[in-house]
Amino acid sequence: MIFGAWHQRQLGAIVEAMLTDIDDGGALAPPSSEVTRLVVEDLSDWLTHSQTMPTAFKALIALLALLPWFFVGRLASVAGLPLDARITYLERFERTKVGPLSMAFIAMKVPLVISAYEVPENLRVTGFDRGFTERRRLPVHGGAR
Amino acid sequence: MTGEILHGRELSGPLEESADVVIVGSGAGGAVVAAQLAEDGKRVIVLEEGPHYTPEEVRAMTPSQVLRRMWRDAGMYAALGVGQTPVISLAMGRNVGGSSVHTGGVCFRIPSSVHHDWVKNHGLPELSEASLEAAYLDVERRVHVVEVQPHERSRSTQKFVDGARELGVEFKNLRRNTVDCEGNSRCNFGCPKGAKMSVDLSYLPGAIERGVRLVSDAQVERVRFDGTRATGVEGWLTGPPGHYGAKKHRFTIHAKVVVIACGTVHTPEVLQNSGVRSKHLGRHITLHPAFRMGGLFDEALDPWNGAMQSAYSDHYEREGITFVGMYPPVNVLSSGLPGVGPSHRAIVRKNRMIAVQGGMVHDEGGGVLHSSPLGGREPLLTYEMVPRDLARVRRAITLLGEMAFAAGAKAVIPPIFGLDPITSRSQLRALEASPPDARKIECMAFHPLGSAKMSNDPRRGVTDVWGAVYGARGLYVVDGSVLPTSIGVNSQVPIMSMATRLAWAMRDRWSRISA
Ligand SMILES: Cc1cc2nc3c(=O)[nH]c(=O)nc-3n(C[C@H](O)[C@H](O)[C@H](O)COP(=O)(O)OP(=O)(O)OC[C@H]3O[C@@H](n4cnc5c(N)ncnc54)[C@H](O)[C@@H]3O)c2cc1C
Repeated sequence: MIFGAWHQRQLGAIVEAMLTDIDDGGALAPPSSEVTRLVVEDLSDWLTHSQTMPTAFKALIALLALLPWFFVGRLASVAGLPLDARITYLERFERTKVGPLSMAFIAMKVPLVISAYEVPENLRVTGFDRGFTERRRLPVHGGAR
Repeated sequence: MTGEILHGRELSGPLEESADVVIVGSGAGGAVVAAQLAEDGKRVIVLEEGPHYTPEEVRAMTPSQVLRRMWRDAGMYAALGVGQTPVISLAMGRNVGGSSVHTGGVCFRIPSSVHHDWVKNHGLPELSEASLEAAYLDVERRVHVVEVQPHERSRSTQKFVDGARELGVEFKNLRRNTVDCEGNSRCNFGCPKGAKMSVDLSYLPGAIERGVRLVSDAQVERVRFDGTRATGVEGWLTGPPGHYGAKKHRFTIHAKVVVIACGTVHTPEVLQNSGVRSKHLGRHITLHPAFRMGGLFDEALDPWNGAMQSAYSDHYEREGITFVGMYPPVNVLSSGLPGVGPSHRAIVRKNRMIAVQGGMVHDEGGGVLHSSPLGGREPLLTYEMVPRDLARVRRAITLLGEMAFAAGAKAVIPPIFGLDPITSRSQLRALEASPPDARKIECMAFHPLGSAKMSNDPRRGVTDVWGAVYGARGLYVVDGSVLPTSIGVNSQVPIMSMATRLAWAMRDRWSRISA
């Protein structure tokens, strides 16, 4: 694990917010702590394949962790926000008109989502009808499948 | 000499060997020269910084495993935008077979207009279309270039083709280097069928049968010289995956001829480390900035079924815009969809209904390489997009959106970070009229070119038209870096054809260049 405890906690909070869904009753449904842990561990493994990205990514986590005051006016780190406020905060971050900040958000979101949607229970949500390494036969276009 | 692939990371001590030719880099340029010279009976050693994976190993990887193990910098390398320029995510392979292993298989020749420009405006009659004809034919035969038939198209691509037709824009069938493609639509992340004839499957096996020794996990630092004569290379055997940049043992390879084929982003570094000086080295880099547009339909398209890239349009060639069909794996696509938590989940659930189309611009080139500020392995690439190219990107996004609407899309998902889907043509035009900050555009590139460009004049280029580095003897560059300008189309066949031409020239002049 390349992240220390603080970075793990902040990243875990971001992952949890990113993967939160709505349940049948309309309430927020966060992913299981197991899925969140898997994604944090997987991102850590991913970054070990780069020389400079571990440092860059830790800086990104710190940036996202420390800006709630600017976007939702709360003096807390991202991990200190309740789930609904965390989602609002990250959504505002993503939509910011300030190009470099928006880019910083995406630099975090892209590997996070790629990794998260390789977890089978998330992949199923996409409607993709097979595992990533499985093959298919090419159908005749417009014909029966 | 027996041909083989040696895994550098498994060697337990320093390596020292001799050959007629040492080739640095095993991608589209390096593999082709290796095969051509081995067929001519030369003793060839190829050194590749990245690891070697067999097709079976690649097939068993998920998209993110391919990214972290086989793409440069774990798939996170990007050109840093200067001023109003998006950050451009730059994909490159770092493995035996180089970037060729990760292509969508798209095969183009260099357009006639570009050859014409090189001959007329750059004083390069040796690079006329006719002079490359034999090389194109040779490459296309070896990598099995075939036309993708309309029935192989995904419904994702077909939607955009239909929409374009409504607007009077013609799409044509692409040509690709595949054998029995079954439409798994994940060419960039390891074809599960092994259908794509990348150089690791087309050129390298035959080359190894003819005695080529290929050392993976071997990062060349510099060329060795005796005066101005190149005599070999030296560098480090690197550690296993997960230890990026770790240096284990030194190696030295002695050779009569040295060929650098590290790709546009890495060739300049090796040349600079070796004392080659030119004001053009590491500059003038073009990228073909590319982007995708999503169209949200109200029917299930299962867009992941079909050839990943099957149709293209050069209708806007004069405006410097090419549209090329594409479809990324569903998790990669989801990473670019807007929203967080429930809003993101909601659109991720609609993946079955999202068609995707790609576009790229024929750029003027504002890429410059610098040594890594963090002292890491990867050089820093800055890129300043000229206003003309930024306008082209924005115009292409509008055009793609219009095609999607014309095909019946209920909404379009432009490549703008955090922007909700757009539901009307008027909103789409408003986006072009008052565009967001350029740094909010999701941009990527796959074709870096031109960092050691050819010229007939040493004051205007790094190599001559035969790839020979000015000021050195026995030192050649054979990869995307030598192309004199951006070409506006996908670059693998152009690079492989140029490599074929340069290898033939080396063969014909062997006694002179190796003396
Ligand atoms: C995801 C992706 C999709 C693409 N799709 C298409 C497509 O559909 N059609 C198309 O025409 N083109 C496509 N391309 C572009 C095409 O693959 C490249 O233009 C082409 O492979 C470049 O050839 P090259 O020899 O210049 O470099 P590369 O093929 O990148 O090879 C360079 C090799 O040198 C190695 N190397 C670098 N430095 C060193 C060093 N110091 N020591 C030892 N080895 C070193 C690298 O690890 C790499 O393996 C795509 C590229 C990518 C990444």
